[in-house]
Amino acid sequence: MANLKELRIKIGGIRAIRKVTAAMKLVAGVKLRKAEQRALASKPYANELKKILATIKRENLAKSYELFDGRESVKNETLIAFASDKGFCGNFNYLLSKKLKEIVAERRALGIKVEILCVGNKLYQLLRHSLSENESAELVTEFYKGEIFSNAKLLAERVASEFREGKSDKISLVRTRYHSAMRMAVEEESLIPLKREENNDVTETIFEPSADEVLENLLPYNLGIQIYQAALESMASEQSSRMRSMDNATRNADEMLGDLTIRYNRMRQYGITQELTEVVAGADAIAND
Amino acid sequence: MKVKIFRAEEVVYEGEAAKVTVPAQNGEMTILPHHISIVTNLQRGRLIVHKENGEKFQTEIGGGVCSFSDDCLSVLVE
Repeated sequence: MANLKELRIKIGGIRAIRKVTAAMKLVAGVKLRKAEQRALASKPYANELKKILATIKRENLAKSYELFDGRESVKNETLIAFASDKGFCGNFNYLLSKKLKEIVAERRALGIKVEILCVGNKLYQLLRHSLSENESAELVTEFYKGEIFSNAKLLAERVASEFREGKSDKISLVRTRYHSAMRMAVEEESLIPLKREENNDVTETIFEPSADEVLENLLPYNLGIQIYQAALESMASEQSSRMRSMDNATRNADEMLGDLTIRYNRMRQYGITQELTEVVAGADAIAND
Repeated sequence: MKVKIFRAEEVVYEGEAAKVTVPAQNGEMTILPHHISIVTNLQRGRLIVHKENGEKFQTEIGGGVCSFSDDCLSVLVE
């Protein structure tokens, strides 16, 4: 059985850990709210972009219709996957990598060569050993630092040019969708071919300089905002996951502290009782002499 | 006519205007109310909203797209 001093040290250690986890929970809460607000603030822009995209009809286009229809045979696909740079967020990264591995296995069966762009260091580390030579993973570094929208746009321009050059025939996102603090799901979403609503509006619209050029100009913004929103949702999910796991950790620490304190008190009392018995026994022995 | 100017992170301007001058890809362009529906690319330059009371709202943009339809102009800028 551990002695009193050892127990005291242990209790001190757990108390310190509890302080850290409680603080991390609060910080995650603040960051979660920030990510939610930013996601909300980007909604009007995204909606407007969708509306403009809907005015461009298939028949307006002379050459860029591949962006709407996709390519007939898909040989190469780029997946952009969002996870976190930091740990301590429960099974958030694990769930994403699990889904991603399923997707990769599915593509492998179809004979599609996959390139994965990992946003988030943790995901990259979970993933890189499980790929065959037909698949490659690349870490997108420092995505969450600085201006996230401009990082998203850079990434968008990169994948758009890969599509144009024919290095990739399909671009998809794999990310965690944030429904609420309790409900999150990893989902796959197509970037190119573009998702868009058909517009049955018959009013003539002029495109300056041409519908193709407008679409080409719009493309980085459109992909950029989708990547941006995916990143924000992923951030919100990460923070929410972290909040939950830190809450659990704090609660576990409380439980352990309770147990240990009882044990400590009991042991201390046992020591005192024993000492008293010894003193009394000693006194008796002297009196009897 | 109604004018809305959006940046990815925020709504920059929302309100009524008498006319709007935008730096279109083929040169500066002024849009008046009841213009025909148009979607045009924007380049780097200055965007000016002329309000009905004569005041102006100006902002520098790094490019973008603007769309006019149903007497409503929406501008997505960088």
